[in-house]
Amino acid sequence: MWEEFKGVWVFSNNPQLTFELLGKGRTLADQLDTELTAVVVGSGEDPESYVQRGADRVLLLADPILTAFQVDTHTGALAALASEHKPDIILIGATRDGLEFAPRLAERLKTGCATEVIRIELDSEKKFMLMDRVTCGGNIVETHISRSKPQIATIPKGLFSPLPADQSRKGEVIRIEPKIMPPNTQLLERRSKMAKGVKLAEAPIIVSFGRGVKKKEDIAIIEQLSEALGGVIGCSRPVAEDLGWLPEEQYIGLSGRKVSPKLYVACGISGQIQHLTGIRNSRIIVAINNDPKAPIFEFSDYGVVADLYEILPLLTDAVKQMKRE
Amino acid sequence: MVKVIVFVKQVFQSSELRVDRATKTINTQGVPRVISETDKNAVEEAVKIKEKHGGKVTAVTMGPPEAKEALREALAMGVDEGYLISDPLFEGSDAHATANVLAAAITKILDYDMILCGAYSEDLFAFQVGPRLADICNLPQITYATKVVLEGTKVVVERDLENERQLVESKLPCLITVVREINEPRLPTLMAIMAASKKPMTTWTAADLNLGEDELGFKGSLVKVLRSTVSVGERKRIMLQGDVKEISPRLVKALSEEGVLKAS
Amino acid sequence: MKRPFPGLMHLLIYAGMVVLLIGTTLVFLENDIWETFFHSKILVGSFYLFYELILDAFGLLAIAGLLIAIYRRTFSRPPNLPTSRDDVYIFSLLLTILFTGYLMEGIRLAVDKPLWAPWSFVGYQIARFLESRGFDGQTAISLYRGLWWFHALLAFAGVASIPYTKLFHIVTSPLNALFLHSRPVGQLSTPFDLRQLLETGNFDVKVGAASIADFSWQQRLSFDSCTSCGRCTNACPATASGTLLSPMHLVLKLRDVMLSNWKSESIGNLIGELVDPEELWACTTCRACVHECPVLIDHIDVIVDMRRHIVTEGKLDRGKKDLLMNLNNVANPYGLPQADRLKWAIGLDVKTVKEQPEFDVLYWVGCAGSYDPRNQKVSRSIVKILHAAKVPFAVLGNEERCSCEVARRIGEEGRFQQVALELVELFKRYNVKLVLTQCPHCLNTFKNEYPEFGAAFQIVHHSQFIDQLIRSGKLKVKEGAEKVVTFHDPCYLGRYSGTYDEPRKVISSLGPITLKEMPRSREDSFCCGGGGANFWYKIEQKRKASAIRFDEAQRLNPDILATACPFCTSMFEDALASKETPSSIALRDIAELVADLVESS
Repeated sequence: MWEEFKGVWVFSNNPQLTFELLGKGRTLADQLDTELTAVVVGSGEDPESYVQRGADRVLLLADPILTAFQVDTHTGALAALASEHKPDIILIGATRDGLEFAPRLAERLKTGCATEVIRIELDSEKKFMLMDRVTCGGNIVETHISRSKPQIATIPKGLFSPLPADQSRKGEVIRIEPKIMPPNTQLLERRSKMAKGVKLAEAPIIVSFGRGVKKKEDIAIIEQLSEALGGVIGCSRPVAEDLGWLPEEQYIGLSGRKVSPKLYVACGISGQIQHLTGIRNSRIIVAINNDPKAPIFEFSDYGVVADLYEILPLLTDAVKQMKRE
Repeated sequence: MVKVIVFVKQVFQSSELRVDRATKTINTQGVPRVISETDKNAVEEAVKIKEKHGGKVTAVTMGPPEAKEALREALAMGVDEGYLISDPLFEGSDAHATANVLAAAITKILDYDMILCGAYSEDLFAFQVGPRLADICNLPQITYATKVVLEGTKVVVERDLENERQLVESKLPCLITVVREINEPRLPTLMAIMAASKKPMTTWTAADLNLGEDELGFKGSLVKVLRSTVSVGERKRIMLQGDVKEISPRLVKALSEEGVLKAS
Repeated sequence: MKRPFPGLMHLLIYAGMVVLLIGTTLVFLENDIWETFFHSKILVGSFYLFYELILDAFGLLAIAGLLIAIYRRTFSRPPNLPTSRDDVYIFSLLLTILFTGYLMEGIRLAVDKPLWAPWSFVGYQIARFLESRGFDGQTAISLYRGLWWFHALLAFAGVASIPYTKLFHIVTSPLNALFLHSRPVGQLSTPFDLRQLLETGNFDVKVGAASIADFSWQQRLSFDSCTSCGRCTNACPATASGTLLSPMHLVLKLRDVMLSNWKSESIGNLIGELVDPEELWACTTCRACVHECPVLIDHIDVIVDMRRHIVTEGKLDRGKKDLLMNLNNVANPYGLPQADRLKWAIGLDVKTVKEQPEFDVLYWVGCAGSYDPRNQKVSRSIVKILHAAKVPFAVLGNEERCSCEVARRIGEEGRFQQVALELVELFKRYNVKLVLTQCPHCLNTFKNEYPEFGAAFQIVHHSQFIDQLIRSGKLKVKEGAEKVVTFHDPCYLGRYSGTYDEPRKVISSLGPITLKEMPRSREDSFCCGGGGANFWYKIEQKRKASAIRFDEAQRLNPDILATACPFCTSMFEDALASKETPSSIALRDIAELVADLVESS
């Protein structure tokens, strides 16, 4: 029965994310010696672009009902397609849309799903997907396998890289007009959010500073490191409340924001208990302080006793260098 | 008058879990059990809706006998009755098996207009049970709710997505998953929790729900956990010594190996 | 007479009026009762002469007092002393009564010309003046009659107006003092007994006050006793920080609602409408207001009752919820792992009660001492001292948990009682007789609140204990360097516990120390801002109390600012870190200062 299921499918209503899925999809399809299909909803990107990014086939769903993503209609459409074509693997982009859609699709198909995976490998013998995901507040990495097919995984943005667009690639574009029932919910209004930047509480990388920074203008060196890392900046309470160098929403601590980034870089922060309670859920804490007795070092994973004015520019360069490679 | 079913999950407080370095397992002894945060938001929302429109709120949880405490807390927040679905056969349930059990429970309860639950649980962050449950029960689902307004037999929900906010309408009954921004859950006092013991609490087993062994626990799961690797323990407290010029690339390399430098 | 200037002023007015009241009453008694029924006089002989002298003297004193009062309100204008129509009315009334009184006396003496007139020395001078103007005949007598009725009417009007003006404090203040609760300082009220409720299984108890009817009659009486003197507000750190809280205005608001609605049963929910919750949350329970109040109003009692109501509703912000959830889940307010409680002692010779069942002193490290890196230094210092003085001690280790003093202050009474009962059992189990703590908040709750729940142990603060050790010779301290030190009296050690001298004695025993006192020291100490659970949540304020207090210390230019409380230490560290220009003051707990000069054993 399992042998009936063939092909790697990718789906996301975000074209850029679809390209990333195709990047990994291509690897998997090659390893499985099977076809890579991009399932795409009509309008938007030129379907050929998916071929250029690695798809062997593009299933273009052309029902206008599907233009605005709604879990109901999309589940119906993709479930029908999947039942018909029996793909082995479906990779779905882990946007908020994707995260509410993939489990419903999986339930419709009575199959297993792993959400927000951080790694995908194929079992060397039986070639099923080994899907790694993080649980338990970051303490545990579990390896999931689906006991039925299609095997479904949702993939967050940035995990995989897209292939460069290859104009010479050839592939099939099949236009499908599924008959879709109207959705069981009505989309009344859509309001675009101003891209205000990542909220501190959700930021995966934070570079933070305290009184070790002497002048407001010097915040620039913090910002440079933060930019190089792709993170956001935060600060300790006195910087925001007493000095007013940053707005109050940006201070981290007992009476401010609590954060849980993957990486927290504390520059010139001594590590008073009020601040530590705000950062304790960070996965990795790096502390830079010129006082070797600063309490923050007890609370960090990596510590450097140094003048932040000296080491931050060097760190920024090192990060940029690494990203280039 | 509206009847709301709200699902809560009791989880271990993840910040308290200790890693046993020797056996590389998680030690759960003495770790406090709490209601998953977003489920508290769901309970708060359900109680608010009842306070505004009148009606009844029923809390349901699937878990070990200790999960009764979670129900008691929900009752102390204003929920009217609680159901604990507990059975050793449930052990090893994945999202699908869990959704099956919960669906059987609400089918038995039968009378509801709306189902509320957290969009994800604080321990697994899987986002799966809500949508799966909605599909099994053939209910419309509205996820990531930041505001829920009841209008007769319809509900209008504000949703929060990455790049946009949406206003979505659905007929009742439907299933709504909520996110933290929707409200500030009230904190019941100890007295309120003790007083809540008087409210009705029922326990159901697999037999009460007419569920066969094949649908339950590990047997009924569609996903298998092949292995678990415990990754984080105490802070490492690694002090990097040397000249700043040579520390910098060393630190960056270490962070890269930790896997924390990727953008997502 | 805590505040000498206004105290004297009040004494003059009050004593003056009382003496004159007695005087006029005696005249009435004599004229209308004694003479009528017994045909004799009381006001005779030398008694009468002294009587006249004293009455005239005290009348002058009363006028002096009133003039001082007027001066205070118009020229020296202390803060938070509003001058209302009430005050103008009272001053005018009393002065008019006094002046007409003297005028009448003058006329009487001018007309009657008794030999003993000079004994009424003020009236006598007036009489002589009138005589010199020829004003001692029939017109004078008519004027006298008019004045007499006028004076009488004013006096009766004055008496009648007592319930309608701040003069009511004449009645309510003594009553308030009489009926004030007899709880020891530092013990909050106990609205229910958890043990009883657990037995009966009935937890439907009303806790907290959200309307006037919810307050006890004694609390309501206290609202009515307020004389608007403003001393509480002037001493309040929350007011000084620019929060919404002003103790006097809070009491007056409650009084006004009470008086305007006294007939109506349900005044409705005050909190939110009349009283902003932020006013209640800004209170640090420092007790300066209660200490200052001349009529013994217990503002903290009232504030905590209102907090209890808010907590019962559960509508708390994130910070307060996290605090309570942390206390519940991990037994400490920081939310740090319970298993890490002894981490501070790594590398030190510290035994738990299980490892060393024979001990004299249970060293109660407390949550700050266990988890706050800054206060862990104090813990290590205390251990060094205990070893140097060869004191057999033990700690509870991971069995130690927060005393939940903070839960009680925030208004979660149930949780507090539950923990108190647990800890009392724990102490009994380990046969604890004497507890040593470095936290005045733990000190207060163990000493003044836990006995109600069965506690039977002694509790001592590290300043008292170290002082004892030094004086008994058990602890030898080297001679330290010359230093200028100023000591900040923690609210819960000073006002709550009456311990002012021991910390100072300890500091003075460290060598050639110059102790400089801040303007507000000892029982007038100004709060660091960390009490009443304020340490754990965000307060809207213009300037932190810790910054204000730190500047007060800085003005003395000391080498060291000494503290004896983990909250004070943490708040002042924060103030230090917030300074634009760094300060050279060293912030040390007295235990650290002593440990520096103690030989490690």
